[in-house]
Amino acid sequence: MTTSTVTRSPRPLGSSMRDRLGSAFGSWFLPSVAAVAIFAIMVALRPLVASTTGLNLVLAPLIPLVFAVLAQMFVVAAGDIDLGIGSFIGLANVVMAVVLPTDLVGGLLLLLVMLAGYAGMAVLISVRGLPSIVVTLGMSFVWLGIAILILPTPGGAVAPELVSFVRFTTPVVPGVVIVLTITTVLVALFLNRTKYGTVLRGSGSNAEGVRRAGWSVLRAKVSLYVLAGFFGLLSGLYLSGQTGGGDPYIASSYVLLSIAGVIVGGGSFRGGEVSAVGAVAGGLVVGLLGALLQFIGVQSSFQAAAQGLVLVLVLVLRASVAWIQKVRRTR
Amino acid sequence: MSDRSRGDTLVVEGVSKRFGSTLAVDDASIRVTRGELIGIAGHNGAGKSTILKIINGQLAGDAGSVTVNDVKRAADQTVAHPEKIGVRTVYQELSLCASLRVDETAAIFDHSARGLGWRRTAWKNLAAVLDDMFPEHGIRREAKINDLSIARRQMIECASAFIDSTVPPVLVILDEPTSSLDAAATVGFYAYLQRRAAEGVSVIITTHRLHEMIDNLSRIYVMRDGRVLGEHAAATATKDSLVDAMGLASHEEARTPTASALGRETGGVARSTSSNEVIVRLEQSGEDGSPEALEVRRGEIVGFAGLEGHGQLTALEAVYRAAGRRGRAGRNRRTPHHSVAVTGDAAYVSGDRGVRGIFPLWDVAKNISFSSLASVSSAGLIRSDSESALVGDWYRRLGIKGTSADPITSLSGGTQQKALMARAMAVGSDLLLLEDPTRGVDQATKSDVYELLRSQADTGQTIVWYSTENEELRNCDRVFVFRSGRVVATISGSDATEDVIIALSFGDSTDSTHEEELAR
Repeated sequence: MTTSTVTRSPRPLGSSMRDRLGSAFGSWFLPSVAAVAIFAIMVALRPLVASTTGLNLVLAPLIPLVFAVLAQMFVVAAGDIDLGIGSFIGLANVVMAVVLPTDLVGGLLLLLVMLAGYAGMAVLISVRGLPSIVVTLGMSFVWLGIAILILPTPGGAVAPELVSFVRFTTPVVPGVVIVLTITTVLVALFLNRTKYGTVLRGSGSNAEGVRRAGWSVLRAKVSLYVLAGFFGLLSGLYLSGQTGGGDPYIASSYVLLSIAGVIVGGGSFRGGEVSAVGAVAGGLVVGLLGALLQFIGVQSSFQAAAQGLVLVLVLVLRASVAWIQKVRRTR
Repeated sequence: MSDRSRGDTLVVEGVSKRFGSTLAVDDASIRVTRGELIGIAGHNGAGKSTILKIINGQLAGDAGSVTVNDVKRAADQTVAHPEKIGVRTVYQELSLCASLRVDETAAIFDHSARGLGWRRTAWKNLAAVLDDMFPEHGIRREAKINDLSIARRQMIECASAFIDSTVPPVLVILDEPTSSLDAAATVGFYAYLQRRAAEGVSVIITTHRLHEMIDNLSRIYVMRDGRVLGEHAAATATKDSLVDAMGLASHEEARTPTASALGRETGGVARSTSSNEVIVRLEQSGEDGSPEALEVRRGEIVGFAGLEGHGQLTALEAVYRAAGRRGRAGRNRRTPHHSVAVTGDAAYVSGDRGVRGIFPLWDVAKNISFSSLASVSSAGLIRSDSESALVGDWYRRLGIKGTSADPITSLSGGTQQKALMARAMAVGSDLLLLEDPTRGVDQATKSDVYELLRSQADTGQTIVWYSTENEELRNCDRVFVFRSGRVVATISGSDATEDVIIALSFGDSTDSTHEEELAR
């Protein structure tokens, strides 16, 4: 053999317009459209929502949720899932409402220890090969236990400086929009435009491949978890500033909502497949949906079910889009 | 060529590695001079992958030494960052991250791409190699790995092993680098290797495509059963001489007379004890395009042989899916190369018992009876007396020591495998499918298993058996040899010596339909 069988490959070079469009509209596109659409419906129902005050009122309660979604996103990027983020944010809230006002250094130290806890979980999961679902669920009771130990019943008072920092706004552009934009841009730049962000995403997608290329998989996992912990703390900070008090159970609904936000935002449990813009949009979709249902007057007893139903619909839609793309590609 | 070009890039001396009871690499020595392209040939399980992993320092050997670029280390030392001493490896199973873009992937391999324009730098370095290696690769930098064909992914892996990065490549190890590439890409790939070799880069290649090694390399080491049997100059080697060397029949044991005594007619005719009922029917298009059918009859033991990854597993799994369940008739299934029809139901035993077989928290009895619970239950409840009768019966037949209340994990690997086979056999299905059932099992247990299979076949159960160990296929009535997804030969079990199977599974590999399909 061989030169006799050499043939020029007739395959097209794969640079058609549709391919380009496909990569331009990544997984973040659909959730962003959904978030804008829900917001547009709300504005149509109550035009005041579009004013500075209206925006602040509608979006401010979503900021902690969006941070929780980003925290979850980093864990999902590692191919894991975090069931402890709700109690973790609750503990952060309690520390900020009870410990921080009386003992600044002790409070800050406690918050740092919490971050170290996330690093420890990453080491445990990476080195010992434990399933993240078990480790984070176990730790969720640890966080909750400590929070209840510090503050058995809701109470405490967040320092006024914290409150004013969180409620900061400008007369023209609402503060929440500024915070959301800056956060999204920073996280997206880090994940997509820095080399280490790429390594982090790669490590969730194919850890063995990244290790063979000479990177530390353990360090990548720890980085992702510490980032998750950091955004959990930010979420706690905003919750504390907005409520002014502490409550261990304040964020217990965030566990499932944050997972829903990541998945709606184009993330995948396969790991490595996440988008910062998508996650923020996913968080907004999940949060705005609740507000919208309230607006149209859905009874509060039906709200949870309706919210869940819409989320399932979004996921079905996404699955069908992915399926259509796959069929087109293989044809 | 500079005067540095003489001298050894790699010297491997007396390396051995043992996994449990098998000696994967036995006192192997290999030498690669600077700028040389060498190959390692051998059949499944000859120890090629193991010795490559010891060379690049991923795996610790038990004895011997490895010298790379005049730096000697004991083989029992692993190397955390082989890329820092210029050793690059492309593994058989792909190691790209599906969720990343092409330029991001390049950057992960290319440690020299830093700073603001890291993606552009990495892509520029990778594209330079890609354009040189595969002029018509058609890969765009913003494409996601997930969306690329397997062939293009393999191109990226091959190319990324030759980028300069911070430490230029000195020794590149390629494990089946061309398995998904079409003919044109393969030619370009080897031409590139020769250009790089002239610059002083040494390359080790393992591939089952022997003609590629003969045409493009300078020397070929032949391995078998962990030993390096010898080296052949590619200029004088032919495919036949390599196949002969790989299949040196010295260690073939004499077949036990009891197994071959009765009722084995050659030429693929069913044994006299079996009926003519067809249980499995595999249809494929023949060499000339006309359909041909392969039939497995009741009470027959048929082996699926060939090189790993040539379609045996796909066919076996299709047979399982085509079989009926719980009284319902099965339906025909299609694989890329076959149309499969099965009469009756089937049970499946996987050799990957840790993942796909045992229930580690249960005792042996529950592990055995799990698949037959319907037959030992009445009114939806499990009758413990029938269950223990069933389990006790299988304990006697298999000769498992201990009691059935022992936890399954207290048994040895081989005995666990026996229990798994008992589970599948206890169902009493028409068809028993075995996926490499004796993987990692000692010789004594293996003979027990062979005997057990024979007795099951005598009771009318049909057995289809995929194995990577060619010598055990002699225990089959017939053996189907697969190549490139198709059954290329049917031989009777008594003819199925390792030599014959090796020769048939390499066959005439100039037909490239399989490769083209993968590349698409």
